[in-house]
Amino acid sequence: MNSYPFYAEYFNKIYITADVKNTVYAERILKRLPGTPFSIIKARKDIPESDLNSKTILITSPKGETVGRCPGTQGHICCNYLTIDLYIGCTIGCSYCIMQSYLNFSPIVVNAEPEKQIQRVLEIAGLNSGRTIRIGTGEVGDSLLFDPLFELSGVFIEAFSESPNIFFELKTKTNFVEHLLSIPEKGNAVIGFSLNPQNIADREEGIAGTVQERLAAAKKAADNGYFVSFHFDPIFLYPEWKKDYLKLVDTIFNEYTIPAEKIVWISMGTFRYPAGLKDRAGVKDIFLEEFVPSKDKKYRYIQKTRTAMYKSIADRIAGFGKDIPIYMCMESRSLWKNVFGGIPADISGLSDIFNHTRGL
Amino acid sequence: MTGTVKLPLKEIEQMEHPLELFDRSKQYDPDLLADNLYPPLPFSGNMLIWGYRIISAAKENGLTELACKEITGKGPLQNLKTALKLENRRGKYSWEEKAKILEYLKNNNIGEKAVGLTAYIEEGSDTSWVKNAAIFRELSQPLREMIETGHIDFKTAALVRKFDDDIFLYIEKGKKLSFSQKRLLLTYFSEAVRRDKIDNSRTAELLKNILSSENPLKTVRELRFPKLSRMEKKYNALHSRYLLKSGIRITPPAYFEGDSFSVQFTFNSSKNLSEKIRKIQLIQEHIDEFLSFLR
Ligand code: SF4
Repeated sequence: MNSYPFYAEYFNKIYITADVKNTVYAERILKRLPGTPFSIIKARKDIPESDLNSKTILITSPKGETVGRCPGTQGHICCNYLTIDLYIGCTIGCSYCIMQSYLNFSPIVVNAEPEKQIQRVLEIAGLNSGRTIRIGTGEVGDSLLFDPLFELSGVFIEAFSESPNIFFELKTKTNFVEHLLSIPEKGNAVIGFSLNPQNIADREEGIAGTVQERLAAAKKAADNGYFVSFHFDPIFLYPEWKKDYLKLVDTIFNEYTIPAEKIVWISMGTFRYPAGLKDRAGVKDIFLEEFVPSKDKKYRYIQKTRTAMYKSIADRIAGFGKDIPIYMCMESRSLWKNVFGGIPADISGLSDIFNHTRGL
Repeated sequence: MTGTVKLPLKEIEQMEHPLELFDRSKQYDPDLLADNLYPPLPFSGNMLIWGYRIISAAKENGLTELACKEITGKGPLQNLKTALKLENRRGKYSWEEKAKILEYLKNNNIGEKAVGLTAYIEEGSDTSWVKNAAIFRELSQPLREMIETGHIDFKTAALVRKFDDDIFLYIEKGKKLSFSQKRLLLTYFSEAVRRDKIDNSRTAELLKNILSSENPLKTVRELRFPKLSRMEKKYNALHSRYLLKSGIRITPPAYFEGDSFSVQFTFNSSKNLSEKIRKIQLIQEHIDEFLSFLR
């Protein structure tokens, strides 16, 4: 799906706010999607209501604080991940995605003024020298889905390449890495791939790349000097879950032979949802397992079940490389104790990446 | 566009009425009508665009003609927009009305544009009414009626739409359940049936059994959450084994989610307190059995 006609077919309208109309990114999209109608507007509010949907793309500049914290939830251990909103909105269409409702009334937003964000990250990195800063653009959309059009990620990669403590992560379900391979200085840039067994991807992950495509892209990225990461998130419970997820782990290491030292971290998170998501999504098999409410009011599989799931996957990964940092996303202290015998601060290799970042 | 004309009621009634989409039950205020205070009824050629409620009120009030205004050069979508604007009940349309709107759009091959009408139909910009109105159109008549009469909400009806209609009769005839209990029971039931792939031929019998059990909500919960229910039963059995009649209660975190148990007991003398403490010390030997529920 990595070609401009793919985007041209999808988008009906381009809006560009006047403050970024002369940027290379605005020029790029107009050149790459020549047939798509566009308008220059003063502000987002000038987009007519009929165009407030995901078929519209808005190129603008970031507003307010440009770096955020991953919204950790109450009662759960947060990995202190920092976020940059670069591409807001995603059209991959995962059934479990909380962005789905957002897209009914919002255009895809591209923050095409990376300088502000880069400046802020460098400032934070300066205040935290010697501590790992993990920062990514995949919180409010897929980091690479629209990147071949704008090539914004490369600007960040190059800007951070000389900062030894910045691990800049692009999280994706695509295989759109080609345009990033030739960047000369990659520093500690990480390309992260969210993974699920193919049968789940087919059923729940819209137009995402196949698992084989994602892994082939991971291999290519690793071979070309990037760090890679994998995110088993969300992990689903179904009768064959164990066989499927363990096979997926084996595939990473055996079939694609991605060297353990190139993998900076692997995260796991079982499927969880806020009550509203189930209401909006309607009748879907993914909600039919047994879920119980957690402290953050999200619904999760029963704790004992989650423990067994995480343990199986973590053990399998550890069998391929004991030093790969593995962590759980938005899980409780009890789960950390059950699965890893302690919280991140007690676990060598994790305490560093779970560092609390100063200056935010 | 032409000016306002008075047309005989009979003539108006004989016009085509593909846009008769709205509930007529709420009458137009007869006093306003008597004072000629009503918007002129828009029509296009031989088709009335809006005003059915005014017509009903006019007939009841013995009026023989009504002010109308011809609208020309507009297509079916624009005519519908006109009707929706005059109806002016954003956020208050029933499912029956939304289903009729969708049907009108389908008949005129303008299905895709339904989303764009959201601004006239719903309070917010949530376009899911289109999908849901399509589901509503497929519901059986008894279910549609149950929704319209407030016996069941749309969401629950959509969940149980594949079941035979007999099921709803059982529910109506069964134990007295409140609206929210009914909703919970049907939601759990339909989810369990779907997950466990229970054959349609068995669902009616199964529901009958649930409804005739002592506590239908507890029974249906066991069907929907078998693992959790088993854990609860096992925990209660364990608790009874070691603490029956001890006056001590060891409570796990809600839904076995967390890492701490709480212990509760009362005492009324120093001797009594010593007994309780001794009992708790004895439990310590078996504490792993309790902790295993959280690991
Ligand atoms: S790729 Fe991520 S952001 Fe996009 S739809 Fe799927 S979960 Fe949502």
